[in-house]
Order: sequence, then structure tokens, then C-alpha cells
Amino acid sequence: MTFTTNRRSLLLGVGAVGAAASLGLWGRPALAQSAPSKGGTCRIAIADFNSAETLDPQVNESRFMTVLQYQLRNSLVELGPGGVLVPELATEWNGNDDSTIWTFKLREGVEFHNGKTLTADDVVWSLNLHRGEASISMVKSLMEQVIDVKATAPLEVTVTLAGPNAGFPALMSLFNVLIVQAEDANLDAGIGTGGYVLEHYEPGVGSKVTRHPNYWKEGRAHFDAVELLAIADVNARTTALQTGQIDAMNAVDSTTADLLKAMPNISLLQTQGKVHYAFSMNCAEAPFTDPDVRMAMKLAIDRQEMLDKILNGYGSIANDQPISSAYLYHNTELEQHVYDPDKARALFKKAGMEGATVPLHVADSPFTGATNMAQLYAAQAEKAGITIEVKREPEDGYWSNIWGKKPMFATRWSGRATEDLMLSLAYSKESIGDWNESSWDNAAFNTALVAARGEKDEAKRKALYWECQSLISTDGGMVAPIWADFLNATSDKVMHDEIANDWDLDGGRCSERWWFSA
Amino acid sequence: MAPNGQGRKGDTLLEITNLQIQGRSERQWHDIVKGVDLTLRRGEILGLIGESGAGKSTLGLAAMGYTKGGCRISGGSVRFDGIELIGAPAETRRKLRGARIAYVAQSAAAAFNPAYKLIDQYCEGPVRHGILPRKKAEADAVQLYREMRLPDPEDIGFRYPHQVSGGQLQRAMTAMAMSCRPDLIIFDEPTTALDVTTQIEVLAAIRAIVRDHQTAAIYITHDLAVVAQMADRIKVLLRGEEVEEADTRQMLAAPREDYTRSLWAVRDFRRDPLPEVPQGDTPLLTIRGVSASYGAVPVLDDIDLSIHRGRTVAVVGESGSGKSTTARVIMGLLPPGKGRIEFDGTALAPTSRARPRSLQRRMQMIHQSADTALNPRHRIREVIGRPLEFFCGLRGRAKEDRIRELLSQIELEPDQFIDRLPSELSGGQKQRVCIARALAAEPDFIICDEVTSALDQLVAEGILRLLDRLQREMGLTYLFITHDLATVRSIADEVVVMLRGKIVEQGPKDEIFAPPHHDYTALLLSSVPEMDPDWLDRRLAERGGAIDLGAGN
Amino acid sequence: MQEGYAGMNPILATIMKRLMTGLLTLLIVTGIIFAAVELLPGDIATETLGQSATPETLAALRAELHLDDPAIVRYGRWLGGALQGDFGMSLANKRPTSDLIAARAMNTFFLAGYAAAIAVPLAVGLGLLAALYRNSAFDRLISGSTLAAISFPEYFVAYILILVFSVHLGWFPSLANVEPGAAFGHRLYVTFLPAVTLTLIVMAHMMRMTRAAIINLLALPYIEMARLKGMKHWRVIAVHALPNALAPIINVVALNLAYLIVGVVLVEVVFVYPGLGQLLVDSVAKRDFPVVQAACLIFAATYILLNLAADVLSVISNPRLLHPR
Repeated sequence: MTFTTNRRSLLLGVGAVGAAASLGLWGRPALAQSAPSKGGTCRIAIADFNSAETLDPQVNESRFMTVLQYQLRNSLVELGPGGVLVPELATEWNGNDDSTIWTFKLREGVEFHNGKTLTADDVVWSLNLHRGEASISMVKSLMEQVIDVKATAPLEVTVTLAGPNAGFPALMSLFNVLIVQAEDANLDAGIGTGGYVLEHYEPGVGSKVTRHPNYWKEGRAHFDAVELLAIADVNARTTALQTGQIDAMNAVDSTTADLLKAMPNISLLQTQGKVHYAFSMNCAEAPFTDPDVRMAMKLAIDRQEMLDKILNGYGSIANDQPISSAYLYHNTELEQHVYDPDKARALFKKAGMEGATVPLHVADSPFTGATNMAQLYAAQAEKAGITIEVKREPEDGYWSNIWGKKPMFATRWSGRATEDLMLSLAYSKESIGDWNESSWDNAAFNTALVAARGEKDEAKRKALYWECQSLISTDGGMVAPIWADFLNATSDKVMHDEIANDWDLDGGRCSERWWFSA
Repeated sequence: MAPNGQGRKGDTLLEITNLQIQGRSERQWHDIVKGVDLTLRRGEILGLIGESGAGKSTLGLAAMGYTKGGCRISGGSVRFDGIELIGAPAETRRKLRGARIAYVAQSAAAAFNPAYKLIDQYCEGPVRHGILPRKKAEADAVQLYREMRLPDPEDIGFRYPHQVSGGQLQRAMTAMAMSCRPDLIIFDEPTTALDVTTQIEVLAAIRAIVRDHQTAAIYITHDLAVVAQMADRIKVLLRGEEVEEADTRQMLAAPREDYTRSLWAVRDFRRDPLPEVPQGDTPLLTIRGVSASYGAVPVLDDIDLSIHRGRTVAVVGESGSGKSTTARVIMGLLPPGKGRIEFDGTALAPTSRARPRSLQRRMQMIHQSADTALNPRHRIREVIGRPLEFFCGLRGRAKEDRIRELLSQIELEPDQFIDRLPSELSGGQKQRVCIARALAAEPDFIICDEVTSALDQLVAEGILRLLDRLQREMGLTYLFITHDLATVRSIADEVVVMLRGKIVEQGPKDEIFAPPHHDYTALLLSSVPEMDPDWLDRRLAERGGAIDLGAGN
Repeated sequence: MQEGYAGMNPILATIMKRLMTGLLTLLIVTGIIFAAVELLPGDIATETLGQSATPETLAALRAELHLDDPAIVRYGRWLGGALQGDFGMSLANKRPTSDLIAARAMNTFFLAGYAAAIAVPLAVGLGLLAALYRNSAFDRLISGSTLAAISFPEYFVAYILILVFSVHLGWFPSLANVEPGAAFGHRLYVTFLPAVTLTLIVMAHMMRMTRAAIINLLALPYIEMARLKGMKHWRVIAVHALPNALAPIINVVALNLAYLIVGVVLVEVVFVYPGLGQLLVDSVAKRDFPVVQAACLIFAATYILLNLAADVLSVISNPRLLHPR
């Protein structure tokens, strides 16, 4: 079975399942009805960018760079819709019995833009970028579990881990872990194995790429050229789409999404992803050391009102834990926390907190509307006798000075490729003082998480991850009331298969997945 | 080039009947000109005379069918060469202006556009009115500059107004007025801003050119002696109404009306002479060998001067002679480059800041322009009250009483004036307030810098009488700076004549005014117009037509 | 007068004096900017790594960027380079600051210049007309409408223009994202709406100053003299009053041109115009000192040069200074 048929059948299969559930969710079930046609220049406006970013994948963070990097470069593993791992530069991967040694077989005959052929050395060098003293990689901490990367054959790479991790291959799909040429001294030239070749990139302004004629992946990269435009202003993006100056945009403003939906020739793409807006409490600091206080805070928030007012309905209700239905092992049977002022009041009183004031530090840096959400929360909690004092902080420097530093603060998570990545990063004991923003240390959770990582049995893994979600929801330090949907918009001539939900713009891979209607 | 009009000398050119003009102030219309009649024949010169506020200028402009902003013609008729100007279309009046009726303003320095060369401004009229092409207009300008006896007539036109002296500018303006060979020129106080030595030349040039071209003119002035030289007939105005009109000689010889006679009599004020200064009396102020400069430009050169207690020393000279600089040096506003100043036996520090307050108090100064010397937002109480607090430390009741006393001394009714703003005072009243302010410090010595120059003669006389009385009552000592020799005659005990930063002559008044004179003093004295219609002719004859003597400045 | 300058042309003397103070000002500005960036919480390392910063990655990045040196050493190093024309590398993306900024600065100047080319003649022309027909309906109309234009925030004016000319009429694009090497005509076309926005923002001030400067002169004797010479109304205003009103007009134009440079920053977000503004905002956010410094220097130098030009023009327009006695 060739990869292409394999992938296609897989996509169609998942699509068929997903379509029924999500017909009402997407603007239009624009599934492949005929073979995609080639050609055209697709212009995409992206809200999230930064003038300072280079094409060095170590420090890429913005949506603009994700999309641009996926045009130029591939990963070993691609993340498909529904969180399914799809072979990309690695055709297959195998772990040993205790999931501590992973072997990746590489695809044959893959060509870089400069004509060089991909070998195991390139992959070793690319992975090592994120390791070692001198690395400034954003995924450095995740790669610390790797103790050795070795080329074990011309097209085979073996990775040795410090401990068992059945979910390790998913790490290879992170958008920082891209495969570049070994010893590439000028990563900014954008040489990669991707579907498009870099024409120009001006940080904070835009980029242009043209199709790589020798792209190895069949049935992908349909446009002749793709232009990305860095457009911060939502009105400018909307107007540009409306007047046909661009073909697609991300970050539609939820307050104007209804209007956009009503416009002719424009489709709104709504995807439920992994993004959650939340307030986090530091469980190592009074009064949040008391689980009753934490639960009281969770019951004092009106989730429906948040969904309606903060997201204008473009999202769904969350349950104080980070694993959404976009992950494989989403706990569907977790009891939903609901707004219950009386119960919250009782718990607060039981904790001896009656009449106490809870400061909540907030700025709009984590997400637009964070300040409004905090004020709304304060009003809702007031009915439970809980006084929340909203403290507005400067947006500049929020991540350095407020996030993870104050007892309670606004936060936002965009999710990670797998359950293990998400949970290890933000909830594990090892991550306290680092990404574990609520300093939550739960023995049962830590045991279950490690067990799940090494567990090869699907059913048992699922049970373990469900338990993790339950523990976070009931005991954790995060008040997460809502999932925010990805809101993208395209002109009607833009066609696509089922939309991936790990990131917006089809998981950042819109450039090679989408095409123009003939 | 022939004159514009086709008529002959003697025909009626301008006929104004029952003209009424109103001005707007404080949201009301007030009459400025109240039914004046005026007739002017071709080639005739009519003098319009009166004090400020008489409506002379307004009437002159109305002859061009023009009113200043905020004024309107409310009745009557102005017929120019058979054309009724009142109610005529704006375009009709515009075409007459400059072309057939021209205007010469009081201050040529202000009336020339600073952005253009003289000749550009000369040519604008003939070219825009379509009378001459530019090249010919330029040639014509040189011709008229020569007729106006301007130096370098070929080149002077290519200078900017600021590069030309006041007297020359005034002549260039008269040339410009002649540029279209108009039938009528309105001269609005054309020599008032000039020094006497310059004035005589300008008067001669104007008279010559007007006669040569047989241009009719209305000559507006407040100076009888000047109008006597220029006009065939004189009309006297008072508050917008005609007082009388007569041929010049008849008017001078036998004015019919009291008001006219009072104007004639203004120059008769003479102060009673003081006794001789006793031998051995120490002067109150002594200046020894003082020189000063503005930057690199020397302005005072080795000045020696002494003033005795209770006396008035008048410093005369043309603008730029160093009169006011002398005052500034004495007051410590301009430190002298060298030399020594003693006041009441003690040497004065070069700057006023370095002088003790008690000394500052004893020396006060009154300026020419009372308008700018008074803060328009301060009431009289405050104007006079400040030096009382500063120098005498008076407060409350004592201060109030003293303010009222001072107002009485300057002959202003305290109850009526104490709460007024400067804008609610006449020019003479303002100058009186300035005097009171100076007196508030109880000084020994007051410098009066051209204090009467901006005032009408009757008002000026009042001020002089007041100063004289105050001197007698309080034993004040005055240094009187003026360019007006009549004022000097009225009030001075001693006279100092200055020229280009130097003292050319000084001594008791009677000695200075009696021959033999220093050359310059002689020129100065002989340049003051007299109330004799033949004065100008006589002077010109004496000087043998050497009209440009000393006029190059 | 002339002795003091030892024969030196007064214009040249003014220029020299102003340039020297200008350079001194720029030096002080660099110090202030450096201090200000230093005072902001966090540094380029924390801001680049953001949420994912760990002590190790921070240390690695700081070592790479020499952030461990004392502030004064880093400032001295930068200043030494700048004096030799080397403005250093961007700390964030390691491109030469000059490359990064040059194209953006040119874009900013292009748009500001474009707007000025429309706004200055239009404002002075309308100001003249308003003075000519003062207190008429025309005068009130343009005074009112220009006032209205500046009363709205910049972005509001921009949105209105986009709505009308881009969305409804479709005459001009709403995106002014000029590419490097775009043809001049194309540039003029795509940047038309931002240029008009800026024009509307700066015009009122210049227009009203022109009007006021002219009206101030109308009571002066030489203007009255021009009327009494029978000159036409428009000639009195345009030929006699305008040249004498130039000094205040030039000054307000210079002020507004300086504002235009800043104004570009305000409209570039709305029109997605690749000017200096977004770069500056990002660089401040990332504490990318060399880029912030270079961008600010461009703004400061522009301001100084505009004022210098205004002074020189004021001298040239004043015969008293140009032709001393």
C-alpha cells in the first residue's frame, strides 16, 4: 500500500465520521468531491506575527511563522485532523518494548530546494538543534528526555530516551521540530523539503513562496504561489477579504463573525481546537492551597455567559481541564462543572474565606477580552459572596512579570500535539516553576501521567488519560470556562478537505492542503 | 505721458457733499465724519488739518471711495471727475484707485511691502492698470526717482524697503503714487514720522513734483507750519466737522474761529526762566566720558553731561543720534563700554540690577508710547499701586490714599479713574498715568523720553504744563529727550544737541538758540518749519537748492 | 551687523549652528532611548522566548547576545559602531539594522512625502481662499469640514475612506502593502487612501494657520496700500499678503510634516503599510535595542532636519535677513 492511498483512505474515513458531528459547526462541508485543481496565487492574511522572527525554527512562535515554515519545510510526522499521526518525512516509526528507544525510517528520494537529497544526518542535525547547552529552542525542555540521536542507517534515525514514552513520535510533529539541512549555516534562506520555495520574506510584513516542482508529496501544494500578509488589524483583514485582495484570513473577530458569515462569496471556517481561556490559581500559595477554595472558584463562574459574551458563541463550554475533543483521549464522561453560587459560597465559607478578597491579575496579553472576562467573573462570583478584585496589569511584559508569578492571573493555552505533551508541560511535578503555571503537585496525577506515557495498550492508556483529566478538573488550579474555536475565513473559491484542529489555518498547513476551485 | 484726466486746470475735480461716515466700536456705530463738504479743483492743493480723531484720514480715504475696516459711509456724495463713487460698483472704484487717485501713507516703512523691491512695487500700478508695460514703467520709475531727488535713481529701485532710509522711502512712495500720473493724490501725514532735517527735503520734493505735474492733492497733517508750506487752501476739522476753510495766507493771518486760534497758539507755551545755578553747586547727575555700543556697533562716543538739581536738560537730535541710548545707559539698561556716571555724589553701577533699590527708586523714566508702557489688563489702581508697594512698602489704606493723592496731582479725578483700564483712557490721560506711576516712587530724577511726541499739540501742551508744575512743587530734575525743538523751547533750561552718538553742542537754552550756532544746530534750527507760507521757499533759496545736504542717512 | 559673522553667509551660519545642536540632540536622544529600553521590565531574551523561557534557554540566549555585559559597556559598544555608521545587528533576528530599517524608513518617507505633496498645496490654497472669502459660507464650510476631519481619530477617518472608496466603489485597494521594487505609479495607486487619510489629518492645522496668518496681515498698512493702488482682491492676498505670511506657514508646515512621519505609524496598521511603526512597536516589545535606537534616530533626525529646513526657508523668505542693509 503506497502512502498516498493510505493517507487518503485514512482522511476520508475520519472525514466520514467527523462530518456528521460537525456539519453545523463548519461554515460549509467543503470536502473533496473531485480531485483538487492546481494553480493560482493564494494570498493569506495572518494576524499573529512579529517583526523580529527569523526562519530559524528554534524560536518560531507566531502563526505567521508556522504557516510559512510548513510551506518551506516538513516534519518527520504530520498531525492530521483529529490528532491522528500521519507519516511525513518518516515513513514509519517503532519503539522498543519499554518505549525508550525509537527508530524512524526516513522517506527515500526526498529533495531539498537546493537539490540535495535528505539523509539521516540532516535529521540528526535538525533534532540536535533543540538539545544541548547552547540551544535556545523553545522546545528545549521537551527534548531534554532525549539522551541520544543517532543515524543508524543512511535513511534511519534512532532516538534514545531517558525514560519510557509511548507518545514520543507525536513530539516529532511539533512545528519547531522541522527538518533542515545538516550544518545549514543560514537557516534564514528557508531551504527545506517543503512544497514551496522561498521567494522573499520580510519580517513583520509578508512573504512569498512558489511551488517546489520536485515536491515529493503527491496530492499536496496545489497553488502556484502563496503570499502571506502580516495584517494585525482585524478590520484590515476583513476588508481585504471582502474586496478580494486576499483569499483567506485567520483570527476573525468573534463579534463580527456573524456579519462575515452573511457576506456573499465568503465562508467562515469554524474549528473546535484546543484553545482554552482560563484563570490560573497558584496551588502552592494561600488561599489556593485549599482544594475547597479552588472548587469554589470553579463553581462561581458562569460558563454559558462567558461563552456568549466573550466569544459571541463561537466556542464551547470547557471543564477546567486542557484536553479538548480535538485530542484522541478526550474524557467524554467527565462531570461538567456548572455555575452554582450557593455551593460555591458554602465551600468558600467552609474554607474560612468568608468576606475575603481574591486579587485577579489580568491584561489582554493572553487573549483579547481577558480583562472583560475577569470583570464578568468578578460580577458572577459576587453572587456567591466571593469578592474578586480585578487588577489590570500592563500588556507589555505580562508573560515575564505576571504569568506564573501572581497568585491568580489570566492565561491562555493553545494546546499541544498530544495529551502527554500538554499534561507533562503544564501539570507535571517536573514542570513546577517552569510551565506548570499553577504549581499543582498531585501524586495520583503524576503517577498516572508517567504510566500512560509508557503504556502501549490503547484501552489502558485511555483510562489513564481520562483519570488525569478528572484529577485536573476536580483538584487542579485552573478555572477554564470556555474553549475558543478557531475562526478563519476564506473566499468561496478556496476548497479544502476536513480541517485539522490542532492549530488554525488547517493546522498551519493550509498552503499545501488547500486549493482553488477550478 | 499725459495725465489721466482730460480736463483743464481749474475745473472741479472732486466734489464731496454732506459726507457722513460711521465707525463701529463696542457694537455700536459712531459718527466719525458728520456732514463735511469739500471741493477740489484740478491742480489745487487742499490742506486738511486737525487733531487726532478729527476725521482727516477718514475723509481723505473717502475721497478714494474707500473706508477702513469697521467703517462705513452712511450718507452724502463723493463725485470724482463726474463719477459718483458712493454706491458705485467695487470694480469701478478699484480701477480709479492707483490709476487716477493715489495715496501716500504716513509711514512709508510700513506702507511698502517688505517682500518686494521698490521698483516692483512702483511698476505694479502702471502694469496692472494696463497703462505701461513693465520695461517702460521701470524707465519711468528711474525718471521719477530722479525728479524726487533720490540718490542713485538708477539703482535705488532694486533695493528692498528695509535697505532704504525713511526719508528716501517717503520720496519713493510719492514717486510710486505718481506712477500712473493720477489726477489726485491723497497725502496722509507724509512727513510726520521724519526728522525735521529730512522733512524739509521731502516737503520740497513733494511740492515740486505735484506742481510740475499739475496734480491735485489733499494734504493731511496736524502740523500747521507744514501745511502752510504745501497748501493753497486749508480746511480745519474738529471731531468730524468743518471748523473753517480759507486760503492759506488768509487763514494764517486771520483765523476766524476760536478753535483755529487755539491751534495757532499752542506753540506759545514758555516756562518761566529759573534763577542761575549757584556757583559750586554739585550736579545731581554727572556723566563723564561715556561710550557705549550695541554689539560691535558704536552708538555713544565720549559723552560728557551734567544735570543740576531742579533743572530740565533737553537732549535733541535726529533718530539714531544716541538720545535714547543715553537714557538707557543712565538707567542701567545698557552698560557703558567705558566712562563713569555719578548720581548725587556716588558712582552708579553699570547695570540697574547691581544698583541698590533705594537708588533705583530715585531715578524713574517715562516712555514715548504710553500704550505699550501700560499693561492693558491692569487697572489704574494696580498700575500706580505696584511701585508704591515695591519702593515705598505701602499696603492697604495707606496705599489707596497715596494712589488717590497721585491721581489728584496729575489732574485726574481719583473716583472717576482709579478703576479704569488703560483702554478706557485717552492718549493724554494714559501719559498722565505714566507720570503718576513714575512719581509713585518719589524720585529726584525723571527721564522723559519723547513723552509728548505721540500726542496732539493741545494735549502735549497740557502734559508739558503738568511736568513744569510738578517740577516746581517737588523740585524734580528732568532729562528731556525729544526731537521737537518747539518742546525744547517751551521747557528746557539747558540744551544738549546730539549727532551720530556725539554731543555737538550744549549749554543754556538761550545760548543754544541764539547765534552763533554749531553747523548742525544751525541746520536743525533752520529746518523747523515756521508758520509762514514762504518759509520753505526762503530756506530752499538760502541753501541754494542743495537739497540733499545731510540727507544721505 | 556683518562684522560679527566675519563675512559668513547668515543662512550658512544658521545651518551650521542648527546642525551642531541637532547632532548633540541626537546623541542625547540615543542615551535616553537606551536608558528607557533598559528600564523596561525584561530583556530581549525573556521577550523572545516568552512563555517558553527557562533559565537555561535564557542564559544561552543572553550569552549569545552579550547581554551579560554591563549596560554602559553595551551602550558604548553600540555608540562606537553608530559613530562609524554601523548601527549593529538586530538582536532579535540578527539581520543588519540598516537593512531591516532602510526599506521601511523609505516607505514611511514615501507615504509622508506623498501625503505632504497633496496636503501642503491644498491646505495653503484653501487657506488662501478662506482668507479671500473670509466669513463667507465657503470659509465656514472648509473650516468646519477640516476641523471635523481632525476631530475624528485617525483610524476612523481611514475606515470611512476604506468603506467608501474600497468596499463600495472599489476604486482603490484597502491594503497598501507595497512590495519592494513596485513601480512608482503602482505605489501611488495603492497608497492613495493612506495618503488621503494623512492629508485630512494634517490639513486643518495648516489651512487654518495659512488663513490666520494672512488675515493677521490684512490690517497692515502695506496691504491697505495694495488695495489703494487698485489691486484686485486675489492679488492683494496671494501676491502681497502670502509672501509675508510665509514664515508662520512654513513653521506650521514643518511641524505637520514631522507629525506626518508619526502619522504614518498610526495609519500603517489600518492600511497594512510596511512602514517603521510596526517594526518599532515590535522592537520595543522585544527590547531589540539597536532597532529601536535606529528607528528613533530616524524620527529625531527627521524632526531636526525639518525644523532646520523651516528655519532656512524662513530666512530665505524674509528679505530683511536675506539682504541685510
